Amino acid sequence: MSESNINRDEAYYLAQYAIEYAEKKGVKDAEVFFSDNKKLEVTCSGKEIANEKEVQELGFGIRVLLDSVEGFSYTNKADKKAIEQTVEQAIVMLKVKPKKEGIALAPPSSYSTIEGLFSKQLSTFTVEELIDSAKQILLPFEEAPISVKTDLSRIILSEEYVGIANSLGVEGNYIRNSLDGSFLAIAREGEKVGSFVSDSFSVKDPKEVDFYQFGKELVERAIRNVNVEKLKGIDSDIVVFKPDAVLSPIFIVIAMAISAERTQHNQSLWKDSIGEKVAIDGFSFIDNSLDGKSSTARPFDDEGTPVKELEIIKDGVLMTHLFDIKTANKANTQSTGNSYRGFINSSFMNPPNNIFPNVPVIKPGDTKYDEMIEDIKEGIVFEYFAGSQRSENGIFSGVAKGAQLIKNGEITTPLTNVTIAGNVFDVLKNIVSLSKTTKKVNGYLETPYIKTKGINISSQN
Amino acid sequence: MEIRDLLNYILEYAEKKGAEFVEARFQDKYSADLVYKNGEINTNIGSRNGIGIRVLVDGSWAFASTNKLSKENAEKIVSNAVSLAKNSASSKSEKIQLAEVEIIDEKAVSPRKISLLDISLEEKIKMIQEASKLKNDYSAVKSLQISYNEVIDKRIIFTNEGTRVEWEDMKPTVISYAVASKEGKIAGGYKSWSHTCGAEFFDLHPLDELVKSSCEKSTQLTDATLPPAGTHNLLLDHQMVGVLAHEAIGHTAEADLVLAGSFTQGKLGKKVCDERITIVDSPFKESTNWMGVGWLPFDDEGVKGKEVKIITNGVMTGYMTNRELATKLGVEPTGNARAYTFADEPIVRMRNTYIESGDMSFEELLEAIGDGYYLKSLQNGQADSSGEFMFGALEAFRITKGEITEKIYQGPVLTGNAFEVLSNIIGVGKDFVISLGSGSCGKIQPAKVDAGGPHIAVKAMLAGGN
Repeated sequence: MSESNINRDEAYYLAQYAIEYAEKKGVKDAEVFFSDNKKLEVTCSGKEIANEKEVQELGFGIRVLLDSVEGFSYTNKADKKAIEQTVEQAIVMLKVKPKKEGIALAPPSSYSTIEGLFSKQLSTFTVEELIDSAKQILLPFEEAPISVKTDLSRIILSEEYVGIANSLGVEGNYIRNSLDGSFLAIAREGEKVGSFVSDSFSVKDPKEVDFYQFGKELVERAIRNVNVEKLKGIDSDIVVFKPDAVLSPIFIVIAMAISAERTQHNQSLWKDSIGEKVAIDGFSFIDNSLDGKSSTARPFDDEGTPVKELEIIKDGVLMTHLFDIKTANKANTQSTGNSYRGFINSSFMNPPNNIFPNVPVIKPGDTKYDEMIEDIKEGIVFEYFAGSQRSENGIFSGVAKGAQLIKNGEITTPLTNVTIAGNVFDVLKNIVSLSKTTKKVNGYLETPYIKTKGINISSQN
Repeated sequence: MEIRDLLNYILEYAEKKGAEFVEARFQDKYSADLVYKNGEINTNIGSRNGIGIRVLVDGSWAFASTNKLSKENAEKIVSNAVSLAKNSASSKSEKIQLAEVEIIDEKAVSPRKISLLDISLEEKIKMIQEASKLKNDYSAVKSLQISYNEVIDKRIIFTNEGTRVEWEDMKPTVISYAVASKEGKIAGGYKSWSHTCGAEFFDLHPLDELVKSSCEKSTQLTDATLPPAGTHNLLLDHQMVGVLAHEAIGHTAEADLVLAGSFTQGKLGKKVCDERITIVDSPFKESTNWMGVGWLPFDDEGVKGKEVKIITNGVMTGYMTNRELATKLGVEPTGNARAYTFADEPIVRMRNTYIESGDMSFEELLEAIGDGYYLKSLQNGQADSSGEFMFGALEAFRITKGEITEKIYQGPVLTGNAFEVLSNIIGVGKDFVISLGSGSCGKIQPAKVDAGGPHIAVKAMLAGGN
């Protein structure tokens, strides 16, 4: 895919037209957010390629503000008539809605250039290379000693052009691309069926992934799940969360607790916790928003506010909440550049109503993974959490998937039927160690392995 | 060019380019969101349309989509799709064969008494604002959010075999979510509904009742703890039963997961659970007063929806399929190929999945339970290829000597192996409700689905606290 496929000029022209049309209709404050997303995707099923897919869509989200009332509408039709109808639809809503304290458009700003946001290596990556990458991942499935198959797996080359313009003079755009893979594997030996395992990657350069090795490790993990034992009972509260297990429940609860949207609506336990100790000394959490190696980096957020690097939790102390323009105005502070139009996703179909970190990173510790395990007399390590977590109070309970028993400092038996329960806010204060190594989970969160105590572990016997 | 002419042109052009089979699908989807949050109202109204095409060339699939509805652009996406399919054709171990289906030319409109559009958005906002005032009756409730969504989804599906189907679907959804806090303790409560219907939805489920329910639950749950972990006698409400049918059994009986090796593979004709259990996936399922939100007269391959009996009296009897996988499994297509938007390819999904009613009254179920817990209101659910599942409920009540007590717990999680749990049935109720709350399912793409059943008493494991 190349840059020339993007409808940049057309989109900008229509965005400016929308702003002018809104003014003609009596609304001076208008904003147009537009995106043109192109994806080339290879899906895999069984042990082979199932489908190839190419999609592209340009769309416009139009927001109008009048006397602290907001109207929003969207369209994926790129013509003047559709834009006029969308502006009119947004204006209609101005008449029926109550005022919204703090809403405003972003003022003009200069935006940082993020090196690596648009990867030249990916811009020349061909469909044949994409198919070949998928085949490399699938090769270990063929080589497996027992039946290992995949389903709902895919490798995607995506290119996203995002632009924003508003009546205060904001004009910004960026192009970012990424190569993402998301695969699952199921192993089966006769009547014995293993739990599925999954893994993902998100890179800016195909050379960053050894596709064969990625598939091989997935297949090995799937096979390990076939011969599992039921946990007979355990006298321990020590658990090692692997990176995917940190994403949920730990990160999700933190992300909700630091959102000013939630703190201002009394939905967060950290509402009044700025400057307070919320985690152990060695726990630091940052928003590394300008890291061009990350596929979620961007120069401005979904309201047009420049993003910045943020220290959110520093050595266990909560340093800041995350703000968009509305919540910042209500708190008499500045937006931190964390506005989203969707759940960690920028869609022209939504107004900017969500707040999340841009490039979340939990800082690594100084313990080797092996050292985290070797002083555990009894405990479990697990890959991901399947259960419920309550963002309001941090309570979680559910199944520890891909669990392994730790006995006398060694990882021993692969387990099934392990359930865990605890509270994320307590977990942060009960962390025993953080690993030196980190992993990027779902192309979004970079996190170390986390060893903690105080977890209720039980079995399904 | 008129949209049907454009679809016909796509079929002809794709055949000229070498496609053996081509399916062209137009979608026009209107959506409106009205969200109240502590005095603020957020609105989001818009529509999105486009065409998705799928071609089979040399026994290999490719898919392409566009939101530019011109002849030139249609030619471009057809050419791209044909070229993509040719790229991978040589690497296929076997050519894709589609199961034969009835060629149909039909239209359908989802059931409704009054169109959702007959009540203006302004009126709906007023209804929401009025209901929100009930929050003031609950001193512990610090936050209230009421989310209303309405969707009108129009689709036209043409295939080069001659199928011509069109349908229009209308679905409202509402969720009330309250957060209460007392003495430093904080808890959330919610209530949600979604059906295939029109504006009669507001009579079926007055917003006042939703708000009261969510405020009461959040207030009660602030003092609640996790229930004790362990194996217990459990009474499951219709949502917990529905998710058992949908997640624990349904997903693993979807043809793609069956072929990937899920635990239901090879089980057709075999006894897998208690004979009082019959599980069905149906394109149409009515509850007392409404149509399940998984209403689907035709799927996105243009195949007429058929009822699938997944388990009949404890014996595995069916899988849900699309045309390609029906051939591989040697069964008939069931109309379960669904795509969320025009930019998505159809994949095997459920519609309305439920456990059929039995013959026990609610009181008889409680008596059979003796001591245990009553799990109510689904929070979330996940299942696994191995049959292991976990379903989170909003709340649980202690049952003592066959009576529901006022002792309430939060966050109970039901877990176990699907066939084992369904073999440990204590009793199946004679009531029936189909409603999975907001009715959402995620399997790569979102989908509106429904699930339900009677109350069921079962011996199973709760994950929880001490």
